[in-house]
Amino acid sequence: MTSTATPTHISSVVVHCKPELMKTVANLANTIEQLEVRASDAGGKLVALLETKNEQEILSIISQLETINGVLTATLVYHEIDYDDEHMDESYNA
Amino acid sequence: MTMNTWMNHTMPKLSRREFIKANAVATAAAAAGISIPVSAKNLSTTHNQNTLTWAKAPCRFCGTGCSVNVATKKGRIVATHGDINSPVNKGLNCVKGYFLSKILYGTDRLTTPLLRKTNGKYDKNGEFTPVSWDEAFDVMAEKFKTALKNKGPKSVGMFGSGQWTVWEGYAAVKLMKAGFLSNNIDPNARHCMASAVGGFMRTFGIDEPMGCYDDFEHADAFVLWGSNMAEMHPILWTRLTDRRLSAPHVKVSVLSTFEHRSFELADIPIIFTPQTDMAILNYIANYIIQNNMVDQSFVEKHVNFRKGNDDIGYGLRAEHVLQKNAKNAKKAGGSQPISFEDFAKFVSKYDVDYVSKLSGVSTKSLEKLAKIYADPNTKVMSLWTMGVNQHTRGVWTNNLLYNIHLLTGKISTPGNSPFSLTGQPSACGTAREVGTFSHRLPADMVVKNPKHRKIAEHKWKLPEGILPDWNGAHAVKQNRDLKDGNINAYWVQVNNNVQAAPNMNQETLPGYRNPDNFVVVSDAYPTVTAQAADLVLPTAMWVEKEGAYGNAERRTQFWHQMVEAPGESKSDLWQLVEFSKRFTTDEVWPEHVLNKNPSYKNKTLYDVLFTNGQVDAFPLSETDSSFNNHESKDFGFYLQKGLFEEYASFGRGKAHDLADFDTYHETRGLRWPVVNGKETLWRFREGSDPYVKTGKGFEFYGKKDGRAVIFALPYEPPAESPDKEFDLWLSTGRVLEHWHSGSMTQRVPELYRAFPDAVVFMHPQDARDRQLRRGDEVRIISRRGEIKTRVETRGRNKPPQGLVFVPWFDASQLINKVTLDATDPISKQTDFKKCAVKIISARA
Amino acid sequence: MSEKVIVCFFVLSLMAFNTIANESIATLRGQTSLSNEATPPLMEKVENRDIKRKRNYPMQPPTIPHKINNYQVDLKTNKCLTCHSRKYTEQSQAPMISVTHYMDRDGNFLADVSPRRYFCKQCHVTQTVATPLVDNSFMDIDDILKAERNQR
Repeated sequence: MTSTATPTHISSVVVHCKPELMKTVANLANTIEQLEVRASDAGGKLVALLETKNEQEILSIISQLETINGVLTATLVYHEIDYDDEHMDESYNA
Repeated sequence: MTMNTWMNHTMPKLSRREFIKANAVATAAAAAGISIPVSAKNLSTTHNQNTLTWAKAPCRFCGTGCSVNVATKKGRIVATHGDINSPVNKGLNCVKGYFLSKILYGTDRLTTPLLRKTNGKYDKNGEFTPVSWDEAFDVMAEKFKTALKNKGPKSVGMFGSGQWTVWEGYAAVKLMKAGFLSNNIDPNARHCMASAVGGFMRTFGIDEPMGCYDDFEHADAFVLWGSNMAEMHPILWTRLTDRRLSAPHVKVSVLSTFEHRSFELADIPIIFTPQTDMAILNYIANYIIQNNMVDQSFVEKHVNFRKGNDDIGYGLRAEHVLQKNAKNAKKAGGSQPISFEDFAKFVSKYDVDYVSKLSGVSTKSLEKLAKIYADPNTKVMSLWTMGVNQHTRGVWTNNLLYNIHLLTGKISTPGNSPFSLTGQPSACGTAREVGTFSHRLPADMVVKNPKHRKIAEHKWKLPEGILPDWNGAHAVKQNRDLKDGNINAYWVQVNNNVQAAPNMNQETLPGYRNPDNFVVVSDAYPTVTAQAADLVLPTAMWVEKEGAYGNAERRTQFWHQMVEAPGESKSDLWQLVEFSKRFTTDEVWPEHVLNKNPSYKNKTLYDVLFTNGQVDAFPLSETDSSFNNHESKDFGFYLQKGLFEEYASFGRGKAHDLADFDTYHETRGLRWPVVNGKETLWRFREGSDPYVKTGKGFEFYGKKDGRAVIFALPYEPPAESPDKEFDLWLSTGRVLEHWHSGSMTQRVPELYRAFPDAVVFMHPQDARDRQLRRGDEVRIISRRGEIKTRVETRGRNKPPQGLVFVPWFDASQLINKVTLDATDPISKQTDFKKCAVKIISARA
Repeated sequence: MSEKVIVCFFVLSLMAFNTIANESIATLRGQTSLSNEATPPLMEKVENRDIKRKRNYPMQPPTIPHKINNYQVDLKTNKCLTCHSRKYTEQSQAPMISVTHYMDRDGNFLADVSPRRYFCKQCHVTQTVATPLVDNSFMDIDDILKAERNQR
């Protein structure tokens, strides 16, 4: 993720889908540029992490998710606006 | 491996952005019930996100009992958030809860024991000097032994807390009652919930609410009696608000002696003259009967009627004229059986005109309120806390509240709920359920009942007949006994009673500073109570120890130790158990008992109470290796589990069933009675409560015949009302931003800055009449003492003319110098809401 | 006032090894003895600079950077939302309440502000200009990471 001048919106969405279609749902969800699937369980629940420029993108992504075949619900759980980008490059990898 | 070491070795480094993303994922995973790749137990180093340890805990503050998740990094708390999965709060906190991560970090944390000394020796008038734990306990043990030797078990005392963890309270009960053979142990919950307990025991024969928080989502009407939920139970207020604003037919009534934030949601706002809540309740009972709205079949099957003794005094010292004149001061709790017709006649004098005149409430409002209770199709949830409990007739008022729910059968079903709200995080779980009261034993048993003592002696593996059979000194009596020199060795844990107790100048302070007395205070921070003490012990707080709390809806919640306590501070539990090693049975038990039971000779109290084969039954290997546990490590066995399981055996099978220890670490709390793994939401109702026999419908099994009691009790005036000289009512209480005496919240900068100093909330006209303006410095004076404060005429609290309100969180404005030590004679709970004061400019 | 790191162990060691010379240890009460009364501080003004304050951690509800005298929040009206809700932020340029405020108890997304979030002041408080009586050594994640790097 490159450093930008505008604040970043970090949010997470719980996607509930039919268990048998979970793989395809996850793959399709991952094709959305701002989204990354980060956790899942056998019962058909996925946790998707979003990094967007603004709120509208979040809402739009949720709408997109809901159109994927097999998705029952997509619920926004967490939303935080990170105003401070200056620490981005201070991440320290051992 | 300690958590610190684990975190250093296995956690990849973390950027701020990654931290936020980790939070986002963890929160969503928790909401979805997915275990994320790293929990505290599973360590995985491959994924960048697996860098934070989240562990659950109940909030440190009020009786609502919200759950939070706590994030730690390098041995420190870096964040908390409301637990999305917890049914109590579903992800929300109030402003205090949102700052939990900062309460451990006030820079004046106590880190060593402090003993008053002059020239290297203990001196009650000396300066506080750091000493080792050894020296502290040496002096303390010597003082306790001297007192016991000279004057016996009645000369030692302990004042504990509804903020003790369950096992701290239990260890204290064992140490005092079974160790020192003294019933002079009482919790600060005496100041907040004793009247509620009295109400439960008189009406139902068993303690604690029969409903649960689920009632919020089902009720059609809410009635707040003497409770400012908006500030004091904020998360429950959000559930109530949610219900009210989502379902337009729902109505909210708020009754108080002054207007406060809860009135923002009131459809029926009612301000009444102090103490007349009793008359209003009797009026409602009268209205229900006169309008034939009694649920006859319910009353016939499930209710008995009794007339309580009246003219019972005010719990003042015996020499006080009010006590001398009280006909039934010595039989305050007594009552006689009567018929329904007798009861109907008794309440018939409380008609709308009489009560309107007495209370100052319009007949229109009174009738609106009564209709809510009377209408069989309106599910009513009544909610009350300190306005009802901190009341010289608090037990009566609790009884009267149950009266109207019982007359209409509106009880123990979803939404029909007389709900006594608890103030402290574990007044229920610890003080009440464990029985840390001067008259109690665990599971609602009492010291005066020989059968109950026998059960306790048996469970505790004690010689028969050893437990003390006398009611010990309750909170107010303890302060009187300290002043009079009857209690000489005294231990205070997890409370700030010099700030909290009434009538400080005349009773509390002389008691603590009485040269005959040795006072020990355990606290995390140097409070005014520590200042008044002789020995101060540095104490671990909240997630610096493994703990359990029980909230207002009977939900027991556990947490693990997550960080280390600073310096040499240790938990109250460690202190109690370690201290017990200093005493032998030969020193503190009567000779005749030891002669009769020689196998108990030459044992320490530690042996008898804490390594009795039960408390030490669980080895260290059963502790969770991802968390530290400083007490268990020190004593060599899983102390908390042993104490808990021994304690739980008191209540299992007796309608106080707790699940097993390990279950609570896994769940977000369970509401007792937990039978066959299933928690109980509504008690006394068939189908919902496993203790109700089939076919009964309702069974109030706390009473032998399964019937609850409706009490005929009259209005009686307060102990001290305004007069010509002291012409204003003083009510005391709290504000949202500060918990209790402010010892934790005043050290969080954001909470301090939100409300830095106490003020006196006053009606603008009352101020003008006294040539006062907002911000003026004034003296609030009663017959007992005075403080200085500043006038607030535009604040969140809008008292009527003739009444003022002062919060008690401010260590520089000790309003309890002004209050009166009158109590409910049955519950012994102080009335902090009513005394008479005058206010004059400090410049006068 | 800077809330930057006061490294915990440094302060603790100071406290542990000095005999406390003060007459009073009750820090919040200062030097007024228990039997006396001090002049109460003047009532502090609420900070009104409309400048956002740093949060201690992501989930902390931001403190209110402006006065809120007479801002009514009750059954009839919610003054805060007239600037901070989605509808009005374009006009007001006030920060929009986060999307979490539009979720119900079960996590379902609502079209309007959730009733459970209606009373703003249960979570959001103003700040007076009062100076805290006691410092707080809380370290946020940045402070901890910085301290960690400095240790290397």
